[in-house]
Amino acid sequence: MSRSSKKDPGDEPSNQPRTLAPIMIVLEDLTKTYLLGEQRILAVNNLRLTVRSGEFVAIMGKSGCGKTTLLSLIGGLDRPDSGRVLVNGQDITRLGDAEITRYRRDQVGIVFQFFNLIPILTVSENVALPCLLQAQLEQEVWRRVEHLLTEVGLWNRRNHYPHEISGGEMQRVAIARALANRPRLILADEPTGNLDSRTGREILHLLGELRERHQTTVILATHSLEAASGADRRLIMRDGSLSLPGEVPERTV
Amino acid sequence: MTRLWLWFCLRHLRDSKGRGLLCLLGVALGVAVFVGIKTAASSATASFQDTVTALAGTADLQVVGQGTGFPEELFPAVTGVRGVRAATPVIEGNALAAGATKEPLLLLGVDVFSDREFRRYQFIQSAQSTTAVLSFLTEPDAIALSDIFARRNGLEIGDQLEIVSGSRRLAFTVRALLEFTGPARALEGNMALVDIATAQEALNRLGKLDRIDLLLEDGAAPDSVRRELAGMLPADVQVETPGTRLGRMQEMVRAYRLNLLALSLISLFVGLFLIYNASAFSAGKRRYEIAMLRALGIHRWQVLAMFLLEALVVGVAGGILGIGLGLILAKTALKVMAQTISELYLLTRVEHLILSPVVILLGAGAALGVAVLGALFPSLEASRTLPREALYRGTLERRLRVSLGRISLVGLILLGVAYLCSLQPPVGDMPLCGFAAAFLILAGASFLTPAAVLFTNRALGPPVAGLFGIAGKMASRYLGRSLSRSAVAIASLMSALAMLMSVSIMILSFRQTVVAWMDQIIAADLYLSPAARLTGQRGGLPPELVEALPGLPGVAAMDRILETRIQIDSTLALLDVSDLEVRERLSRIMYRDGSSSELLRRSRELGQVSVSEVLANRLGLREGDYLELPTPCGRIRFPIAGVFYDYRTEGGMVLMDRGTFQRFWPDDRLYTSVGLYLQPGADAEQVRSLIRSRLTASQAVFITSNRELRQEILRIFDQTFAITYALQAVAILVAIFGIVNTLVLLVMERERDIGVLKAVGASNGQIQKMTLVEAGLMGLVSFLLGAVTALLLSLLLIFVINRQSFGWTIQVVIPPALFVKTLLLVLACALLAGIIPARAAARKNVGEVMRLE
Repeated sequence: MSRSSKKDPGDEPSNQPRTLAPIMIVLEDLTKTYLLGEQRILAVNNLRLTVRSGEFVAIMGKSGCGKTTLLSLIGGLDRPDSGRVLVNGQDITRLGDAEITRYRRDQVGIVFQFFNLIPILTVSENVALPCLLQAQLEQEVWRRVEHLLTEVGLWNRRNHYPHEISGGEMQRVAIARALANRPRLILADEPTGNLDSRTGREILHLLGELRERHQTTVILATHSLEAASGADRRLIMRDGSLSLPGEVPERTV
Repeated sequence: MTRLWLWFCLRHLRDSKGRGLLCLLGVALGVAVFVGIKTAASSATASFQDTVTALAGTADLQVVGQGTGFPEELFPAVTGVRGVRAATPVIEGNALAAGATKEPLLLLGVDVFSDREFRRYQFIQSAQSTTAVLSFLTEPDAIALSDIFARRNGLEIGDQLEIVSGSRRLAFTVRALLEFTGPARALEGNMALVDIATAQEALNRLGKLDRIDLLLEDGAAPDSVRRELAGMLPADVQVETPGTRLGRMQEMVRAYRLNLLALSLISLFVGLFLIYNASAFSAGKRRYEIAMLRALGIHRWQVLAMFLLEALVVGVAGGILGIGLGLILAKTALKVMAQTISELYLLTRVEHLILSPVVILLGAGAALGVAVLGALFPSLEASRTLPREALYRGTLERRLRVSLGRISLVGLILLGVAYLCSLQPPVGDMPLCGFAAAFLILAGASFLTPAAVLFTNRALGPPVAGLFGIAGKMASRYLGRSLSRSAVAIASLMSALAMLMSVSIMILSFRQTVVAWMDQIIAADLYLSPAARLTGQRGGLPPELVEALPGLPGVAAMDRILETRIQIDSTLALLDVSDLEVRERLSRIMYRDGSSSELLRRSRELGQVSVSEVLANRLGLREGDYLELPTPCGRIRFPIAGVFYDYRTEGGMVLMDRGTFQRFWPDDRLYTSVGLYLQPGADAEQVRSLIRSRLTASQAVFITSNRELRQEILRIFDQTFAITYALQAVAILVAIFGIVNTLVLLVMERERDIGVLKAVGASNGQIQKMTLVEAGLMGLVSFLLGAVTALLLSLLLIFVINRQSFGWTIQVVIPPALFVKTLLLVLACALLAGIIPARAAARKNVGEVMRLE
C-alpha cells in the first residue's frame, strides 16, 4: 500500500464539531515494533493522525492493540522505528535527550492506569514533583500545588502518602500532577481502568472539567465506550492502525 | 528435585550474572585473604620448624646457653654424665653476606668429627668430598655453603666470600658445596658450615659454646639425664629438647599471627552481608514463583533447599577462586611477614609456600559457610512466606519496622555480652575473649544499624534536601523506605569502616606513644652498633674501639649497652645492661611510678634492676618485689627498683647497671651498642667522621644519629602494620561491592518509579544525581555508625586485645584527621560505587514502563 493512498482519520469530521483550532499534533507514517522474546510485535503500523489544539481525542481498542505505545510515542517516552511526531510543528522524534526531557516535563502531562505515584512522596510532594524537577521557585510551586489540590478536592489529604489514600484519590493526585507544569497536552492511559465505575465516572468528569478550565489537549486511551463518550473525537485502534468507529481499518481492506 | 533445582536456580543465576559475579568476588576476596594469611603463616612456621629440625639433627637433648653462651670447659663435664652416649659442641650465629645481595647467612660451627652422628651433610661431587671435609681441619678460612645459596650468589668452590658478623668483616674461601638436605635446609639454604674453632673466632666467641647437642644411650630416661645435667650446670645454662626451642620460636610470633588472622576474618564477615543481600533480593524477586511452586505442592524445606543450594553454587565458585587468589596473595604476604618477623622476633627466611590441605579445606569451608550463613535468613524467610503475601518488599519492610525494636534489643544484648567478654582474662595467653568481643561489637552494631539508619537519615534528610533539592529529598526518602536492603549494605560498610578506623586509632595511638617514649629514651647524640644487625645475633662492637671512644674530642659521655636474651622461667626476655650513671644524668627512663633519676640511682647503687611493664604483667611483679635471674654465678634474686614502659620487645625487658652485671657475668666485655653523648656545641657529623676514620678494614660498624635512629624505629613500626592496612583495604573493597550490589538491586526494584520520574520530566542527570546522592548518603551513614563503633573497638583493641597480646600501655589518641580522611575516602568510594547503578537508572527506558501498564 502506498503511503499517499492512506487516509488520516484526523481529516475526517469529528462527531462533535468544535471551533476550528490550530493543529497541534501531526503523526506521519508512524511505525513502532518491539521484541517480545524472539517475536517482533508491530505495535504501531504506518499510522497518521492530526490533533487540533484543545481537542479531546479518545483512542479505543482492546488490550495489546497499540494504544499505550502510541501514547508513549506522542509523549516522547519512546522513539518510533520510522515516521514523525510533529508537536506544534516540531518533530519530537529528532530531539536529543535533554530536549525530549524538557518536552516531557514542560509540555506533556501523563495520567497512568495504575496512578504511578511515587510511594515515598506525600500527595503534595507528588504533585509538586514536575515543578521541582523544573527547579521553579519553591514558593510558586507550593502555591500551584495548593491550587491544584484544591481543584481536585484533595487539599485536606496533602500530607498523606499514596498508600494512605483510595484508588480514586490516587488518580486525582495523578491528574493534579499531570497539570502541575501547565502542559498543553495530557495523555491519559486507561485512567479509569483500575477504578470502580462510579469513581471512574468522577475521574472522567474531573478530567473534562479541568481540560475546559486549562484549555488543554487530551488524548485518552481506553477500552471503555463510556469513558470515551465525552471525547470530541473517538478513534478505534486495531493492530496498530487507527480508524473511525464502524470503519474497517484500511490496512486490512 | 534435582531437575527443579537446575531449572530454577541455575537459570536465575544465569539471568543475573553481574550480581552473581559480584557476590562470587566478595566471597572469593574474603577467602583469599584468609587463605593467604593462613598459608603465609603456616609457611613461616614450617620454615622455623625446618630450620630447627635441620639444625638439631638427631639430638635427643640440647644444653643451651643464654645470650652470651657458656664456657667450653663445660663440654667434658657434660659428656661424662650418665646416660649420655654422644655429645657435640655447636656455635651458631647470624651474619650478612657482603656484596650486592646482603643475604642473611646462618653460620653453623661444628666439630666435624663428633658431629657425624648428629647431622648428615651431603657434599656435592662426592670425589671431592673427602678433600672438602679435610680442608675444614686444615684451613681456618674454609667455609661450606649450600649449593642453592652458592648458585644464587654466583659462587663456586675456591671463590672468596666476604661476610659481616656483628661488627667484623671476615673473608672465607668456599671449600665445599652442600646439597639442600639436612642442616643445609636451615634458613631455606642460607646456611654456611664452618669448623667450630673458625666459628668461635668469626663470631667473637672464643672459649665459648652456644650449645651442646646430646644423644642418649638406649634405655636412658631423658628426664633423669636432664635432672643430672641441670644439677651440674650453671644457672644460666639450660637443658631442653629441640621441640622446646621450636615451641619458643612459635610462641614469639603467635600473637602477631593471631592478630593478622583475626583481621583476615573481617573480609569474610563483610562478605556475609553481600550474600545476605543478594539472597534477599533473589527471594523477593521470585516471590510469585515460590508461591506458585508452593501451590503446586512443593514443601517448605524444598524451597529452602533450593535457595541454599543456589548460595552454595556461589560459595563453591567463590571458594575455588578465593583459594587460587589466596595462594597468589600468600606469596606477597609471606615476604612482608618474613621481613617483619626477622626484624622484630627472630631471623627467618621463607622462600617457599607450604600448601597445607588443612588451610585449603578451611578456606573452602569458610566460603561455603559464609554463603550458606548469608543466605540462611532470606531463604528461611522465603520458604515461610505465605503465597498470598504478594508484595514481598512491602511485607519485608513492614516486618522489619514491626520488629525494629526486637532487632535493636538483640544488638544491645550483643554489645552487653561483648562488654562481659572484654572483662575476661586471656585464654592460654591469647586474648580470645577479646577477639570474641570485637566480633560481638560488630554484630551488635550491625543489629542496631536499621534503627540507627532511620534515626540518622531523619536527621540528615532536611540538610540533604536543602543541598540537592528534589533529588536529595527523594534519595533520603528512598534510603529510609528500603531499610531491609539499605541497612544490610550499610552494616557491611560500617563493619569494614569500624575496623579500619579502630585499627588505625590503635596504630596511631601506639605510634604516638612510641614517639613520646623515644623522646625520653633516645637521648644520646650518636649510636654505634654492629653493621650486621640481625635479630637474635650476638655479635658486639669491637671492645677496643668502644673503650677508646670517651677520649675522642667532643664526646661528653658514653653509655655502653648490652642487649641479650635471657630466659626467665618460661619467658624469653631481653636483658638491657647499661651505664645507668650516664642515663641518670643525661637521659630518662619512662617509669610507671617514681622519678627516673632517683630509681636509676637506686638501681646503680643498690644493685637493683628495673623491669618493663610487659615483664611485670607477665610475671606478676611489682616495685619492691624480687626478680630471680639465672647467672653464671647461680640464680640471683634482684630487688626491683621500678617498672618502666618499653616498646622494644614483646617478651619484656630487664634493665641492669653494667656494674651489677659485671659482678655476676664477670668475663663479659660485650657491647651490642653504644650511646654517645656529645659536649654542648660539638658537631655530631664531625664526631661520626672521626670515628669512621678510626675503623680498621675489618671493622663494620654503623654510626647512627639520634634522628636517624628514630626514623629507623618508625620505619620498622610502619612496616609492621603495612599488612594490616592491606587487609583492611580488601574488607573495604568487599563492602564497596555490597554498595554497588545494593544500589543495583534498588534501581531494579524502583524501575517503575524511575520510569514515572522520567515520564514527568526528570532528566537523566537528575535520576543519576538521585542515585548518587543515595550512594553518598549510604556512605555517610555508614561512616557515622562506623565511627561510633570504631571508638568502642579501639578501646577494646588498646585496653584488652593489645594488653592481653603484648602487654603494652598505649595512650589513646583520637586523631580528627583520621575521621576526615576516612569520610572523604568512604564518600569517594560510595560515589564510585553509585556510578554504575546511577547510569543503569538513567538508561531505563520509559516506554518499557508504559508498556508494563
